[in-house]
Amino acid sequence: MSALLQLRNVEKRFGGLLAVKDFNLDVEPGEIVGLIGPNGAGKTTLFSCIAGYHRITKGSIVLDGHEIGNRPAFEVCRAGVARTFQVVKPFARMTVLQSAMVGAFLHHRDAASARRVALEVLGRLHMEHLAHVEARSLTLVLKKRLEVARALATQPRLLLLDEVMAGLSPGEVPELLDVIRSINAGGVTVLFVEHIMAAVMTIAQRVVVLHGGELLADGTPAEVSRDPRVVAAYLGEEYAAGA
Amino acid sequence: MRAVKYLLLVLAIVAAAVGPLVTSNSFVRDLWVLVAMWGAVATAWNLIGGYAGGLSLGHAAFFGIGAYTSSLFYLDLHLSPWLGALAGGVVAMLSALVIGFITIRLRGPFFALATLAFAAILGIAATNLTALTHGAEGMTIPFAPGLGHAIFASKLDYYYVALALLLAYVALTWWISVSRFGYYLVAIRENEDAAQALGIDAVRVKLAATLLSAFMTALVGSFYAQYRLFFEPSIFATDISVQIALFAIIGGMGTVWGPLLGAAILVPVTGELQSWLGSSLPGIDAFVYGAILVLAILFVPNGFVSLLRPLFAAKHPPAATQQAAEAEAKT
Repeated sequence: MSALLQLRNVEKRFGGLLAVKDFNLDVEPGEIVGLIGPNGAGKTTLFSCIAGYHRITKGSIVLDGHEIGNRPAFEVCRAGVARTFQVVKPFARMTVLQSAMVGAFLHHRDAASARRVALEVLGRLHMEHLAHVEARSLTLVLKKRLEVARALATQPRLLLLDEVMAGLSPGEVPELLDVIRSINAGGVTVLFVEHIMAAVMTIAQRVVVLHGGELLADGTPAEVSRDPRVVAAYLGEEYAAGA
Repeated sequence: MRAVKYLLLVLAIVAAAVGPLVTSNSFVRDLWVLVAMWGAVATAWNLIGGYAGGLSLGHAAFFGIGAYTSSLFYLDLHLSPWLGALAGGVVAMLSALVIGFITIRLRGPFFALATLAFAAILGIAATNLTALTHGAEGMTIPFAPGLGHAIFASKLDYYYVALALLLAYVALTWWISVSRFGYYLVAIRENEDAAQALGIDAVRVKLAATLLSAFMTALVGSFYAQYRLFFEPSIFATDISVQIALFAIIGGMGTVWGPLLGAAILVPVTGELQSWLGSSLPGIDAFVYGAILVLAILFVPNGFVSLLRPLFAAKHPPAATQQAAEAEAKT
């Protein structure tokens, strides 16, 4: 089976700063891949490169056989990649339903079917009861969830989730994990950045560790958490001892 | 509550249809024409200024292009202004395409300044290209009433032409506001990056809105030329651009009825102030007008249309706050 997403020798340079260097990654269809690493490792930069918000300075990014590297963001989305933003970007004066409809309009021209798709997505995210609430009056946690809803409404093949669990209470994490699992079960491949290790280890089938802009490790959660380089760079001795 | 909405709509249309018949006072009838005309222009402005959030301070450019194009075709080539207006619309769209291509990537104040400059350039050009535009002398259209000339002896005829344009524009705006194009415009206004992430080609969508808005504005510009039968390069002046934007801002940006409501409030206020105070102390009318605007923006920041909203409320359950909705969900 050929990979859904292929990153080959991707490099991103901001002036003198090499944020991502010679990075290779294959994401197979149907996978849930977690991307972890210390602050400043280049995780969000990498996301932005894939999603078309940053130009890459070298390499190629291929989605299902089509080059999407250095294509504008809207074309990347049309190709089947939807993303959330770590720093949320709500449509403040639109309602939750309207926000999701904007996503749904990508594949549904008329408002009635866009509304149907949007409501269905809101249902999956347990947000139907908020349909007519303005996005600006949501809490940060719910704004993050709305980011997921909007992205999902575009019916992507690959969903990029940038720290959607940050700020959740421990009780809320399992619920969102279930949501992500059900999204994945529906045929959407998921690549996510997360700092909550318990969540990463529970849900990811594969974990990729980024350190200083370079690939440090790539394997199952169990393999990665035992890898001494990962422990030294990111997880810490205490975590390794606990695991 | 839907019933209230439709009742108000029917009442408004009946009032608009018979309003000017109630009076034979020429000054009042002129106000009706001007309200319909500026209401139409402000509604056109609203597509780019209100829905897409591109604060244009140069719509006098499209208005003037409409006036000059139809008048030049009429005076020099004897083309009926009805067709000349369409030609003006096309010229306005072409100019919007050029200026839009350059400025549409600019955000916030930079876009506003670029549009302002565009209208100013046209004003200077109209003043100096005397062979074409008669320069500061202005354009005078001889009074020759006739349907084909789009010149009428009665203000009522002009009024119904302007009303037809206005209703078409409001209907078009309503249709856009519930369709994909409208959702895209609002999404771009609220957050352009997020809109792009959802597959929206923001530049193209904004350009489309600008072209449509330019075309609509130019048609009304041609109407203005046929109504006044005289205009000069000052048609491109900044105060006209600002006036257009103000109607929409005071009435309610990004709403279907706001721009018309703004014109319906401000046009008579300007007219009345001029006739009451204009002769007592020069400039006092503009001073009072400015004070009214300041108060309106202070106390009705979302436009006068927002005051009508309670009439139509409860279209959705009043879960205006998230807490209420959540409490409801938990029970």
